[in-house]
Amino acid sequence: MDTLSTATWISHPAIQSGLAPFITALIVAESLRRLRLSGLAVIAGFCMTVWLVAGFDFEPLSSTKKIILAGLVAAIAGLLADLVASRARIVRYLVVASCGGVTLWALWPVLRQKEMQDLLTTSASMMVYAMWTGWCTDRLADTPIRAGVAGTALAAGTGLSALLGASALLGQMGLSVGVACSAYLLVQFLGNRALPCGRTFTFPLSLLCSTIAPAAVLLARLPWYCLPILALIPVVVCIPLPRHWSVRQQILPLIGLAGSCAAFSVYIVWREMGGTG
Amino acid sequence: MLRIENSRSTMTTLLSLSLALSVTGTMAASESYTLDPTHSYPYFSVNHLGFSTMQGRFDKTGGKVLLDQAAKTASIDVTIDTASINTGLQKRDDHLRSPDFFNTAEFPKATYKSTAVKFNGSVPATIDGNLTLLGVTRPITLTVTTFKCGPNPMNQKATCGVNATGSLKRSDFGMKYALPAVGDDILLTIAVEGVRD
Repeated sequence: MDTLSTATWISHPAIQSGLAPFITALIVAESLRRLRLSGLAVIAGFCMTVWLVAGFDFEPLSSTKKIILAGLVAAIAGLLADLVASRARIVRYLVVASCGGVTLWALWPVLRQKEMQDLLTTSASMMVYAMWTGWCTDRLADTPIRAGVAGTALAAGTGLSALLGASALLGQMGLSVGVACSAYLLVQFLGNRALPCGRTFTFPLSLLCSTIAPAAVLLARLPWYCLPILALIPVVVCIPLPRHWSVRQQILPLIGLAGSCAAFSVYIVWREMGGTG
Repeated sequence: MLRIENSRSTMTTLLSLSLALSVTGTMAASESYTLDPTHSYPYFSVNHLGFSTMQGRFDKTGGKVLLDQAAKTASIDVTIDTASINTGLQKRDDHLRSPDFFNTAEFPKATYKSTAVKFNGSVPATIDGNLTLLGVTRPITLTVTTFKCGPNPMNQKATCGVNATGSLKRSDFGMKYALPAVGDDILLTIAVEGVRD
């Protein structure tokens, strides 16, 4: 394979936001299992895509780059939270406040161009979505199967919706998180055993998903009414399941439920965009 | 002693007056033109997958030109509404407005401000300036291909028109999406007409 074809291969979106983050997350989830750091799979997969698509150059600090930066910081903060104060309730409030605050910070350059009434309603609705997603996803930190399913559906739904909503970059970022979560889930499914989760997994997941979707609404053409549908995903994965069910038995119905919400959001965007993508 | 001081004071006043007059004279010779938005468009072309060269333009552009042909000085200041991008296909234009390319919601304006205009005789030959796009400013030199000043035959207003071309790498401005499939090298052509104020 010569240099040109390698470059072409690496620049293919399916490699950038599909295969590459999947393999990276798979390796991280399995290899760090004994250290109870499998949750790092999410940020590892995301970083792989960022490296291939946009790079880690943060100058100028645009909205998209703020989201990338916040995702990296969230991974470190999630890791520290797991090490230091995983049971403290204040941590959940901080996670929720971070999701709302980061969304406002990242999208402020666009929001500030709006008229006052539009500015207030848009900012408030985006923050409500972000904080809701942060709250619901953080509740899954102690349930690796539900967290993995929610992450796969929420991030893949966000990514595909953003992709159809005319932003490949935001779409690829969302998809990479979804694919990384699916790799984390696959390790659980194949081994039929739950992996360590914690905020190492859920904090970057909730922060990235809670900012990418509003960014796709404001910066591209994602219809706002996709957000309430996507917001249902971390809720529907909380349905009670028989305690004696194995990991595999739990994953299948949950992925069906959460996947339906994600598919509905994607369908809405697809229709809105004229049915051609 | 008093006479000497009076004499110095008169000299200073005269010097100041003559300096002020010469500055005013220079400013008066420099004519100001406002770009006509219906005849001023920046065009761009970019290689698509190695197959063809795609072209587009921005439909809304404004700005000012200051020109003094006798003194061989000029400046140009162009502001482009990036959301007005037009490649003839709505779906592609929506994608070009997204964060993948021009990120128009966050960066609604691009500007080109000249820093030096070199003349060939009484006609501008090259324009050195700074292009600001996506929050990044880089120097771009435009080569003037045509230049004409005179009364517009339709309305008799004093008008100047210029076509200028230059090249840039979009990656220099952080626009890296779909590289190298969609080319990095952009050919920029600015075609503007200004009406004298």
